[in-house]
Amino acid sequence: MTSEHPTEERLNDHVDGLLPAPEAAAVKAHLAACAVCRAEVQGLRDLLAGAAALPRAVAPPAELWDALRAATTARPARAAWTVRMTRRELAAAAVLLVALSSGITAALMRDRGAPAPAGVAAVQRDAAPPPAAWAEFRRAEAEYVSTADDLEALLAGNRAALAPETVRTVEASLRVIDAAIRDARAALARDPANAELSNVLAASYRDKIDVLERTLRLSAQT
Amino acid sequence: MRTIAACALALLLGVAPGAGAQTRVEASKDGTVAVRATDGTVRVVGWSRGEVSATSAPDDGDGRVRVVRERGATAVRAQGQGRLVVHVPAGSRVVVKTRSGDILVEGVTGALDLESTSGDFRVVGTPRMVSVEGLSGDVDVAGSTETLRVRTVSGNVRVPRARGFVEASSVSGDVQVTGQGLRRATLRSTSGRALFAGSVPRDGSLHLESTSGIVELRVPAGIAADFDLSSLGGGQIESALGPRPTRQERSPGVSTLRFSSGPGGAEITARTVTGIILLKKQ
Repeated sequence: MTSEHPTEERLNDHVDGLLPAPEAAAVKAHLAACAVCRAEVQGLRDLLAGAAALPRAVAPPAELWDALRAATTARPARAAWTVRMTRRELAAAAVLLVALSSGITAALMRDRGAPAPAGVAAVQRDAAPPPAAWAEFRRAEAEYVSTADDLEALLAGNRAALAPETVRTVEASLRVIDAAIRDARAALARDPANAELSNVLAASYRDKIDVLERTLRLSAQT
Repeated sequence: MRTIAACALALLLGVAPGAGAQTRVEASKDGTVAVRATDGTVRVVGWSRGEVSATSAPDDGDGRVRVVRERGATAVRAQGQGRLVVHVPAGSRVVVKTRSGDILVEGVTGALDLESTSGDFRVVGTPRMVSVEGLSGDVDVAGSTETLRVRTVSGNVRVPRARGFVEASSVSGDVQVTGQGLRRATLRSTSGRALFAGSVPRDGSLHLESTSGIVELRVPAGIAADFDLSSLGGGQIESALGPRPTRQERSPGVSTLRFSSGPGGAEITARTVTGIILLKKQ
């Protein structure tokens, strides 16, 4: 890194092209070596890009919000963890959506009589899922837990960037979601063929990933 | 959690003429305006003029506001703890991002994308669509919009005149939506209350969900709808409409209530795991 971080005001000036040539050159040199400031500058530029992506016409929300979100979240945030996080989140989400919302449910509905995993058999043997489905479930859950753990570790490293009140809020909410996951998982263990329960469980997983991702993104903006 | 009070917020965000720096640029009547403020509160007001005007009123004199044209859009940037008032052409598409400040938008008919970490949100008027994303702030969409998406973590969500498409969720806050013209809506709260009061057209759909909190539906007794309510993990269903909920023999802890009201039509579903579902006559 070539110098101290430029102030936000100087970065704004740089983005707006208002700096005299020597100062602009100094900022440019700093940006070449500083990923944090590069991300900040990119954030300033992408704010406008995100705004421009707002649709002008009313459309069904699924398509609309997907497009909007893709446009407004495609911007890079502060550091490399964002890329890793997003990749992992996407992988986990894809696995969860497939495994929890459709794959497991479909498998369970197809094959209600197969042997159950140990933890489930005592509760309701006749509705137990096939081993393959449970293996997929556990793989999906492991991926989720790994992703959430990574995000929580990253968040722990970014706590200083958030107001204490915000940290308390997020931590309390994560506890709420964890409790919801426990509730849904316990219910699913009792009723493993229940497609709606698997949807609720998947939604809770997504909520946790989403809260962590959003908090990290917001902390990166501060 | 803070509770938003419209009047107090309006007073809070009010900026006396000449109280701080002011700058303005010409802008198209349906262009894009992007506002970024670090810590200050932001009030965006739609007006009939073809220009964007920003006025800051810093508390301690170190606030700063800038309005620039950039890549076909208008960028407003404010720093410091000041209060920022931005006037935009009413048809503008507006993006506002703040770290901790409250955001109030009124009189804008274009799309809105609002984000604040801990501030409250209030939208008044008839924007074409609204997206709100926060962590701890309350959200009050007092205006009427065709498409609304709200996501908050611990804030309460209040939408008193909902119509069209609505997606609203909170982890621990309450989500309360009232309206008559919903086309498709999903209301979720993990541990709080997900409440809808109003009617759903026959071709509309409504889904409410709370894992451990309360799901409450208040609808007219004669509504033309198909109800599908499920408690999936030991929760309860209490209904003033239709038959009694049934418990599934094969699935202990699961109870359901499915019936059609009138000729049927609107799809109304509700889910809870350990919470309570209340279906009431309006």
